[in-house]
Amino acid sequence: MSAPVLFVGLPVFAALIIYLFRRSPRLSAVLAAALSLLLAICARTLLLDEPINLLGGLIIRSSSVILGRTFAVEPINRLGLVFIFAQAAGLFLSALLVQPGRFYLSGGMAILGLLAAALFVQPFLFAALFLELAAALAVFMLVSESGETPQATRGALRFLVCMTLGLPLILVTGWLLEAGAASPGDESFTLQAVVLLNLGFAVLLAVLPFHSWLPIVAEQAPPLATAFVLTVMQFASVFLLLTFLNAYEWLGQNPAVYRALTLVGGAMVFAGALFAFGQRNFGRSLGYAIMVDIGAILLAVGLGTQAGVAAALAALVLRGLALIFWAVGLTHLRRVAGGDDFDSLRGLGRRHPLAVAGVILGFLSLVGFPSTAGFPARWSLLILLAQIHPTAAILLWLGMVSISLVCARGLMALLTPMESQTETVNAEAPAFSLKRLASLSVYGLSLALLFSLGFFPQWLLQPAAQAASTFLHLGQ
Amino acid sequence: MSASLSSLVTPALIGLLITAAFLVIVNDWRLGFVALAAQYLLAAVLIAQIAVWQVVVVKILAGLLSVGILYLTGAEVHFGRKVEQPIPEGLAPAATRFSALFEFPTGLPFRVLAVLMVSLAAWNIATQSHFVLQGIPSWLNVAGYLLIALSLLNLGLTEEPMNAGLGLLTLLTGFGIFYTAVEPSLAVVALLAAVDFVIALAVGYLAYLHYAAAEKEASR
Repeated sequence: MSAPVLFVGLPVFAALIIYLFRRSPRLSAVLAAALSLLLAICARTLLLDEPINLLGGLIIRSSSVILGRTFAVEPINRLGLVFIFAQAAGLFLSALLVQPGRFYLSGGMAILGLLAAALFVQPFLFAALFLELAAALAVFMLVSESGETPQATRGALRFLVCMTLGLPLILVTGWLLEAGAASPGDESFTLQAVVLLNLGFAVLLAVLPFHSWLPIVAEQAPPLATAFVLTVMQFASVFLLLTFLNAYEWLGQNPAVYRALTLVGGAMVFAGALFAFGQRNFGRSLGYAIMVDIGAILLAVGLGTQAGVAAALAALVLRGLALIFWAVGLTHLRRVAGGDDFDSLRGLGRRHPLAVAGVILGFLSLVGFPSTAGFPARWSLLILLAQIHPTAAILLWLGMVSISLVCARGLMALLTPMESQTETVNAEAPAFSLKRLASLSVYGLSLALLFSLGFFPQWLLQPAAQAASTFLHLGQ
Repeated sequence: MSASLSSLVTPALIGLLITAAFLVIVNDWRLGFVALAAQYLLAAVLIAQIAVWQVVVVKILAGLLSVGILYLTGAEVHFGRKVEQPIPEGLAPAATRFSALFEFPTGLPFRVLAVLMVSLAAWNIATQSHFVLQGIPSWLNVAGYLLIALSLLNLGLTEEPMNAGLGLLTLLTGFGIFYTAVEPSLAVVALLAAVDFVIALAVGYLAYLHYAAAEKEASR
C-alpha cells in the first residue's frame, strides 16, 4: 500500500459512498468529518517506508507511480495536508447544523483527494491540473439548486473561468523553466516563465483584477460551500506558491519577487478595503474581506522570512475557523430572511442571537479583531510589517478598520428591530427541544474555541511555524 | 508524419479559425456543438503531426465525449431557447424561418468585427519571435494563439453558462495544441482529457440550473 493511494484514493472513493448516503445528511456529515479527521491524523503521524507494528508490520510506501508520473508524500507537504484535512473536517461537521446542498459533502471529499494529489504529484507543476479538476468539481457545490434567478450561476461560472485561465499559465511556466534549465545562456525562457508564473498565481489566488468571482460567489453560493472554496482550496493554492518559491532558488531568493508580492498584497488590501466600505450585504462584504485577507497573506509571504510564511499559514488556517462561523450563521439567517443584505436581516439579532453571533464573530475573527482567534496571526503580521514595510502595515490596519466598520453597520442593522417586529419578539421565542439544545451546545463549544485560540495562540502558531520551517530555500 | 497528413495542416488551421470565430459570432447551442466537435477533429489533425496516434485518439474521444455531455444537457433545456418560441410554418419567408430556427446574438456586426481584429492580433503575435513558444512548429503557435485569443473574446462577451463553457473548452483545445507538443506524455494527456470532461459536466450543470431558474422566473 502507498500513502498517495491512501490520501488520494480514499477520499475519492469515500465521496461516492457519501453521495449514496445523501438522504441521511447527518450520517454523511459525520462520515465525511470523521474520515477527514482520520486522514489529518494519518498525515501527521503515519510512519512511511517503515514497518508499522500496530498494523502487523505493514509498510506504507511514501510514493507510487501512476501512468509514468510519481506521486510522493514529502515532509514539506505533510503539514499542508494536515491543515487541509483538519479544516475540511470542521467544515463537514458544520453540515450538521445547516443544510449545505446535495453535493457539498461528496464534492468536498472528492476535492480533498484531488488537492492531496496536487500536493504529491511530481514534478509539482502538474498540480495545476489537479487544482483545475478540483475547481470544476467545486462548481457543483457553489451553485444553489433552489436558485430563484438565472443569475445564481454567475459566481460559480466566473470562478470556473478564472481557475481555468490559471491552468495553462502554470503548466507553460513549468515547461519554460525546464527549457531555461536546459539552455542556461538563453534568458528569454526565464523572463517568459516569470511573467507567466506571476499571471498564473494572480489568477489562482484571485488577485486584482481576477478577483471578480469573490464577492459574487460569497453573495450567491451556499455559505458553507463558499467557506470550503475560500479556505481548503485557497490553502492548496498558497501552498503551491510557497512550494514554487522553495523549489527554484533563483526565484525564491530573488528580492524582486518579494517586492512584487508586497506590491500586489498592498493593492489587494487597498482595493478590498475600498470596495468593502460601502457594502450593505454580508455575503459581498465577506468577498471583499477575503480580498483584504489574501492581500495580508501576500504581504506576509512578501516579507521573505520564515516568520512571514508562518504568519501567512496561520492566517490561512484561522480563516477556515472564521468562515465556518460566518457560514453556519449566515445560512441560518438567509433561510429566515430570504437574503443577506442588511435591510432584509434587520432585527434578527433578537430572535436568532446565536446565528448573529456566528456571523459577526466570524467576520471579526477574519479581520483579526482583538481577543478573537484571528487576532494573534494578524497581530504578528502587523508587527513584522511595521519593522520592514511600515506603509504596508498602515494599509493593512486601515483594511481591518474598513471591514470592522462594515461589520459594525451589519450588527447595528441586526439589532435594530423593524417597528412591526418589536411586539412579536417574545411571542416567537422557540420552545425548548433536544435539537435546539444540541445546536446551543455546538455553537457554545465553537465560540469557546474561537476565543480560546485568541488567548492561547501557541496551539496554532507553533504548527504553522513548523510548517513554515520546511520551506528551507525561501527568503531573500 | 505522412505526406497526406501534412497536406492537411493549412486546411485544419483555417478550419480552426472558422470554428472558433463561429462560436463567438453565433449563440445557438446546436450550431455551437457542431462547431466544437469539428474543432476537436481539426485540432486532432494538427496534433497528429507531432504526437503518437494513441494521444490523438484520446484527444478526439475526450472532445467528442464533452460535446456529447453538452448536447444531452442542451436537449434537456430546449437548447437554451424559450419553450413558447414558435417555429414558423411554411408560409414564413426563408430568412425569418432561418432566424427563428437558430439564434444569433445582438450586436452581430460588432462580434464579426471583434473576431476579425482579435484574429489578426493573435496571428501577428504568433509570428513575433518574442511571443512564440520556441521549439514548436510555427503553425502550432498560430493555431494555439488563435484559439486562445478567440476563446478569451468569447468569454468576455457572454455570461451565459453554455456559451461560456464552449469558450472554455475552446481555450483548453488551444492550450492542448501547444502543450501536446511540449509534453506528450500519456499521463498529462489523460489528465487534460479529464479536465475537458469535468468542465463539460460542470458547464452542463450550470446551464441546466440557469435555464431551470429562467423558466421558473418566466412562469412567475
